[in-house]
Amino acid sequence: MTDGALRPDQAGSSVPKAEEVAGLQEEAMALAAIWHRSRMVISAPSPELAVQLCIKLASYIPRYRQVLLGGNVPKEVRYLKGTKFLEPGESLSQQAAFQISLAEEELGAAPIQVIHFGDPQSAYRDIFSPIDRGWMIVTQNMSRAAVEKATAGLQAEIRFPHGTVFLLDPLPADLTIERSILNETSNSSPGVREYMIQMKETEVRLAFQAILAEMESGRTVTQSYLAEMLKVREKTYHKILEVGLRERRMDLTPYIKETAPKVIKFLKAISLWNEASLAAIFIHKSLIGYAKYKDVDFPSQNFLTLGERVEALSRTEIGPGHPWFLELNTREMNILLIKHRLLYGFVLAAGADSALFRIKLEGLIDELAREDIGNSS
Amino acid sequence: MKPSPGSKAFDLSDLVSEVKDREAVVVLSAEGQVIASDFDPTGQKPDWLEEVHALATTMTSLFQDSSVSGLDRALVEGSKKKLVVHRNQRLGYFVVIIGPETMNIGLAGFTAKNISSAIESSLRPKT
Repeated sequence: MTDGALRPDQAGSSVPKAEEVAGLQEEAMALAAIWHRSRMVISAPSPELAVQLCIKLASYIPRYRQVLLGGNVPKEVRYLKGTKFLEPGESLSQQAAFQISLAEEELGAAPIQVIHFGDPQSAYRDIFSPIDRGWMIVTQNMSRAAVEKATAGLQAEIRFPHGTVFLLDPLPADLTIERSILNETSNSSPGVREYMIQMKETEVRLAFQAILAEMESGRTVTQSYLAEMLKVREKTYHKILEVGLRERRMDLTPYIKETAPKVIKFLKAISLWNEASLAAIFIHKSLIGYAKYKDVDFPSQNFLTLGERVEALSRTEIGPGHPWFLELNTREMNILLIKHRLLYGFVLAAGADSALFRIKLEGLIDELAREDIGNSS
Repeated sequence: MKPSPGSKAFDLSDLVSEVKDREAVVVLSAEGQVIASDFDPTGQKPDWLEEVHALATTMTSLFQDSSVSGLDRALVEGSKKKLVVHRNQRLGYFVVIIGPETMNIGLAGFTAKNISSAIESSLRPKT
């Protein structure tokens, strides 16, 4: 049997479950492929194993996506939560429906994920060849060569103990987030793992929408501002943009001012000192550098507010003159604000020697002052 | 004698004498009223008074809604001037000492704290 069509009547009864011994790396690859809407063919030695693998991978599909089941849908899959069953119909009309759905995604409709059960060769030829994302074909007994012949060529292959996922799109280069979630939940129940995956996927989706709304409001958006406001680290930030591109076909990267390498160097240098809990750098009102070294609650906007007050003083006869610094001492933390071309804000541990910290900073600030950060960022 | 807004009832001269190069000393209430100062309160108010009060209240308000408490000292230093602000935790008063870039910050801070304590004790009921 090599045609690949899934035949439920041939399912074995005592075969091991597909998820029994899958390695973390394979799981991470599959999670990333689904999250990034890679086109794929899932093949297992028997229909039962193929369905098991499909159900397992379906738990990686973000809940906000509309899952559409098509082809010869096995009964075990028909009742998966949140799915829609496509009545068998003419292939071209299905293809047109998928294309319209994908076009609507660009306008904000929920992204679709199609799961088709059947022979990859005809499914690809008749339905999926012009659809560049968001579908999987579930089949059985397909070799790599057969899948390659049936489709436009393979980019990667993920081997599970009792099945293989053939990818038609390249895997994302960085799987850190996927690996991290799977690693953290390696001893948890499948329910907890699914919760963690879905939570992260939803966070990424909502963050993309928030960035879009921020841009539409006409605000200058910097990577540092997003890192602070959305409370995301660098890896998640990149994931937001990559998945957003796959779901909305919108590449926001050119519209977000990235953190300048010199600013990153500055922030990294400070991370080596023990005193600083948070650092923020502004050009005018734009946050161009932000790093939180310790768990501290101090919005960077406060630095701007204080800076504006000192600048207001500068318009009177007791103006401090430029450059200037402001130090605030409280019981829980010290605040240090420095104006030297750019505005630098720091939260230091209570009792930290602010004067010594300023002396240590001098070289770094001088170095940054020589750079044309405003134009390079 | 209790200090009262706009009066020179509270004499600061002895308390600030050690900060010889100071240019101005003022004690402001949380609302911005001048409790004591070394300038004539009946004359024209200096142009910086409102801005100093705005800075002082901003510093306080930043921490009101957070878990951070006990803002007690602030320092602004530039190439021309220095300002030391001490906040009296109980009264909410701000003691502000302004001086040139050469002013001794440690001494000014200590003096501001002394002024704050002196005002607080003058307001305490005599037994």
